[in-house]
Amino acid sequence: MGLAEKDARFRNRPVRRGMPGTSKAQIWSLDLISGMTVLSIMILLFVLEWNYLALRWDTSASYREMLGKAVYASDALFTTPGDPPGWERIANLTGDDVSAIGLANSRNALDSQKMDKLMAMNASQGDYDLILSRLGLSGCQMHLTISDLAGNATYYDYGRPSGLNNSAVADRFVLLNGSVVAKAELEVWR
Amino acid sequence: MEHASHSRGFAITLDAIAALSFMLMALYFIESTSFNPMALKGTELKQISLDTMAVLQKSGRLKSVLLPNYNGTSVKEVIAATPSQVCMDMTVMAINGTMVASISKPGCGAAVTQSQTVYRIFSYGGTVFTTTLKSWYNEGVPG
Repeated sequence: MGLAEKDARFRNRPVRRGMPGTSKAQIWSLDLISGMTVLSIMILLFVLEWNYLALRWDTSASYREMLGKAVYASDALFTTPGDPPGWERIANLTGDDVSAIGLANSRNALDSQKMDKLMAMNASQGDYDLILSRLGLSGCQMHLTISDLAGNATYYDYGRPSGLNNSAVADRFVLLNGSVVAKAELEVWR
Repeated sequence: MEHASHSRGFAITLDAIAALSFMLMALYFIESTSFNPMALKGTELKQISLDTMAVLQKSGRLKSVLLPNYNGTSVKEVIAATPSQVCMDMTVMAINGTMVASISKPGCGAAVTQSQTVYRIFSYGGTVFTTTLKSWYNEGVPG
């Protein structure tokens, strides 16, 4: 067979249209599209779920941090006299005068003079900020209530109530006037 | 041949769906689990136990259990005022081992997880008494 004859046969070869090869390529594309759709939905579900869990973990970590602050601040308030121990006798209290705030004469026995001084410092935002910083609660808000055991009467109310249901609360017992057992609740929130 | 190839692919997809379903179920389980900050629970429990013992002793309520015809009201009142998820059991014993009083918070089962125990020794009428206050979290009550 000569070269010219071969060339003519190549030019005149039947062209295959709509043959199995073409159909296979079409099926493969549909598989790809459906597979990608399912995969995208799955990835989207995981991203949404993970985002939700991350938010919850973040909230949980924040709550844990606030609870820790509430627990240790309540310990400072109800088991120590503060530093200096007679801080309540300083007329215009500043950050330089006091390094720690405590309300107790001895463990859980509250000093009424210290309580009166604390109540007097409730109105001023500067005093409130000073109390927060000396209790290690900077960046947070606090609300302290001391009430009878049944919760019917409130003896002392200090700070800013949150009105939230996710604030951290430390529940303690204290002794007023050396004999009255009362419930103290320190709420810490952001 | 082409049909067999498709069947294999379908089987793999089923495996993947089953695996993803398990994973979604696991995520749902994690999501539905409440996040209780357990790390501080022991500290809180210790504090409330020490507080309870301190106020009972300093207010004179602890010694009142030794009074004749004592019904335990003044101590029960304090124990009942602890947070709802906290359980307490207090016993007062003479130094010779005689049980004088035993007061428990109502609605509490036995301690199943961590517990805290606080002791105090005091004398009354020439006799030495030992007080034991055991606290634990009631598993059935949300924190």
